[in-house]
Amino acid sequence: MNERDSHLLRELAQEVERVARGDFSPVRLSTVPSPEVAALADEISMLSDSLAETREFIFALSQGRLDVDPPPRNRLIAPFKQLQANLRHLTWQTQQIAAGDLNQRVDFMGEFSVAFNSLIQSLLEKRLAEEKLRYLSNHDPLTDLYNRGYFTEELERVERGRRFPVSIMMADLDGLKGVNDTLGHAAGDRLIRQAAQLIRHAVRGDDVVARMGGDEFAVILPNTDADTASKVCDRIRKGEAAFNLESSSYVIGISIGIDTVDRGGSLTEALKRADENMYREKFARKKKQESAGRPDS
Amino acid sequence: MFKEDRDTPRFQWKDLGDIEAGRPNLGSTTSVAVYRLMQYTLRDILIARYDPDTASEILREAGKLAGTEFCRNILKKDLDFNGFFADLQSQLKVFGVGIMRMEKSDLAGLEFVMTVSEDLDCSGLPLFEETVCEYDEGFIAGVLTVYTGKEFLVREIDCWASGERTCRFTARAIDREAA
Repeated sequence: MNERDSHLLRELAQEVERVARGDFSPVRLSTVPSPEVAALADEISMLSDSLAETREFIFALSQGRLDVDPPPRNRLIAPFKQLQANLRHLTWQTQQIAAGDLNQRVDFMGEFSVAFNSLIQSLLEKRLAEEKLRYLSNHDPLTDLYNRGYFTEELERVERGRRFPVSIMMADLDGLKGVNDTLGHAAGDRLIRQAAQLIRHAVRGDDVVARMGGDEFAVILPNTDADTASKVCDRIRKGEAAFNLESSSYVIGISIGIDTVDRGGSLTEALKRADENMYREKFARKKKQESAGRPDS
Repeated sequence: MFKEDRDTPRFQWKDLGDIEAGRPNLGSTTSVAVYRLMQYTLRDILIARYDPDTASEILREAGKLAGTEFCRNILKKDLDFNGFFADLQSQLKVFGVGIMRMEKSDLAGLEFVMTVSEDLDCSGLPLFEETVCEYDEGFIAGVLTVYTGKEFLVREIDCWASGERTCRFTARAIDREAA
């Protein structure tokens, strides 16, 4: 090695030291190098460029700028590319969670995954608890039908809507007291559940069937005129007859009253009229039973 | 059945046969090396017989057929997109194909960016400075086409073999209903 190359190698050593300090400016030599030293200088320049790209990318990553794409074909940063891909996926997952998808789980970030998944699990449990609470606040626990509160809200909502004519049905179980007194309250509860099921099966899926309390049920039938409501009543009667044919312990008797209103009519008034119609029918059924010689249970 | 002359593909999942019955001792899985031996020797011969572009196109079409059958027979297609993607991720893991992750999804425009790490086709390959996962491109296109009913253009933009260490794919629906 001649004196000039020795000098240039000392210069290159200083350049490497400069790069190691984080100064990535181009390698400059004080004189024209031999081909061997020039090749070494080129390699150091390439390494310096790669390190400069690497630093820029890692700096962006450290600031959370995930939109900065990694420099292509730079092999120094492979683990950081993997980290960026993971963080991008995590960002996507978080966006999905924010949109309501609580099925996202992280399985690639060590301890963070455990914490993240616990957070999602907590959110899921909170959502389930809220849904349960909402269900309980709207439903009757014995029959799973809607309760009076929900029925009243729906009555107002349907009244404001466009699905007229609307028929309102009131239904009341005959003889519940007798079943409770003779067979016990468990049998009375079964009777209520069976009557609820019978009414539920006679109407459409989006009709609102509620247990108003005790042995009293009410149904909102949107887009239903009086004739169609009468057919619903017939279906309940058929169900009632079929049950009574099979049942050996007690019979189901349901008194029903219906009222129908066109657009502009008050559903609260319709409910009152349906209730009055139901009591008229109950009275008539009682009279009929008495005249047939059957004791009213 | 496998060698009949034809103009259109006719492969179906059932053509894979009853693997468990056929391999009671060796089982239904094999080594990644054997899979790659098949894939890269086939690619080599296709390039030698035709040209690199034609070889890539053939592998892409074969991948699409595989993705189509995989989606039809393995995946739950009646889920919403996130549910479907979770199922796809899970099944790709079960089958040892790779770890798929979504980076961006535009459900309205049907455009996606996803990555696959530990990829069956390429992870660990020597560096070639080129992407090699055309079979995966076709596979993803086939899966998305069956699920959405739209044709998809899938391209690999980063690949282990090109030095990126993670395969990254863009997928976008093209204005054509699936056949």
